[in-house]
Amino acid sequence: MFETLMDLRVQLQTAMIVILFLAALRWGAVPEKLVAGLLAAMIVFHVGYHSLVGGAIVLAGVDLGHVAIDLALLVALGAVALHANRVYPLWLTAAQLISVFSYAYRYLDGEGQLGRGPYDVMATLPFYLCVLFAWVGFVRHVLRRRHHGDYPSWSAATAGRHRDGSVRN
Amino acid sequence: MGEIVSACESALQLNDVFENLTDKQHEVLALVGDNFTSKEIAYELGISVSAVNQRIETVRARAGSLSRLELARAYREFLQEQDDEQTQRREEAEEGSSTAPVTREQDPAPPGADADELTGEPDGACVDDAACHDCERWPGRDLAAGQLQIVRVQPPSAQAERAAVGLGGQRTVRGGAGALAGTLRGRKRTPGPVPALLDGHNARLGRMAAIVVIAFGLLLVSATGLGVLHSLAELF
Repeated sequence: MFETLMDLRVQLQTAMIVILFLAALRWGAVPEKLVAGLLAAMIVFHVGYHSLVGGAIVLAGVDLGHVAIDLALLVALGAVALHANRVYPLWLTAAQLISVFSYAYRYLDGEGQLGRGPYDVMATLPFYLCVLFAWVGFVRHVLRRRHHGDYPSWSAATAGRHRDGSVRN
Repeated sequence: MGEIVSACESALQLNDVFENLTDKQHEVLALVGDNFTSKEIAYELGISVSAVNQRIETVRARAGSLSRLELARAYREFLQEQDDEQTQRREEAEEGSSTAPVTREQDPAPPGADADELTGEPDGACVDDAACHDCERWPGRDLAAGQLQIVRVQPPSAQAERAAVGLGGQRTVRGGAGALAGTLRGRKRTPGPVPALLDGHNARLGRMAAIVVIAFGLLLVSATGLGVLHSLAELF
């Protein structure tokens, strides 16, 4: 059972992201759509990169294509996290930060003295966490809207535009 | 003269429109009256800008497509009128409570007053001056014997009391739309999804710090989990 799950984990992960994306398009607000869209785009770019290069571009044990994709995702998720009127993008960005730092870890440990295990965990686990956090955030958004009605997608505090320059909470 | 009459008519129509608004529309209009922008209202009430605009447009359509500025002015005037009426009513109630809260049937109750009205009539004994030492308080004491008069005894209404202490409920449109606007400021908003620490001053800095803290926390949890798994694998 566990082995089957491990074998199918990529397909399961892709399916979860596709379902989340479609659900976000239907019931989500802009931040949910953006987050789900970014995760879906990452899958597309990842597949496209390997198809285009026909393998991987590796430097000192680090896949440069993955670094570029993960960095781009970190920046995009960070932008959403800083401006959205939500908490869960912070968790996604934190997980993605771990993923990006795993490349530095791998690069600095060029000789492989520290072993590949921690690197693999740091590189792969965060993306599963991202999918989990995105789902949790989406469900919480839907429940919140059902109970309290519509609420702003973006934080007025980080937008920095307020009457008399004050921030209301 | 015709202009004055039509102005009066339109003011009355507007009052009718305002009196029949829903609570949510009153909430939005109270802030429109304070010259808040739609975005600010959305933030204040914790709803989307489109929901705010939709409510304003609904009222505007009913009010004869007034501009937002005119609508704000008209609503302010409406609230002012409601406040004046309420103050007047409170003064009357205070005056009434200092003596006996008894009014004649001919003096109609204020519209919307929801007090329980006790309808009674002076008993036969009260017609006789000698039999009732408090008869001077009956307004109909000088009526001819046998002539009945209906009087209404109005205890101070619960609604008026609520309005007087600033707890005007949401359904006080006729008697307390002003109170609604007044209490709007003080009412507890639905808590936002983001804690105040991440949504106040230095929100960006707070959020960046939160990201780093969460990342360290996740690493710590992952490392601990892996350590436990490793230990368990060694045990079995």
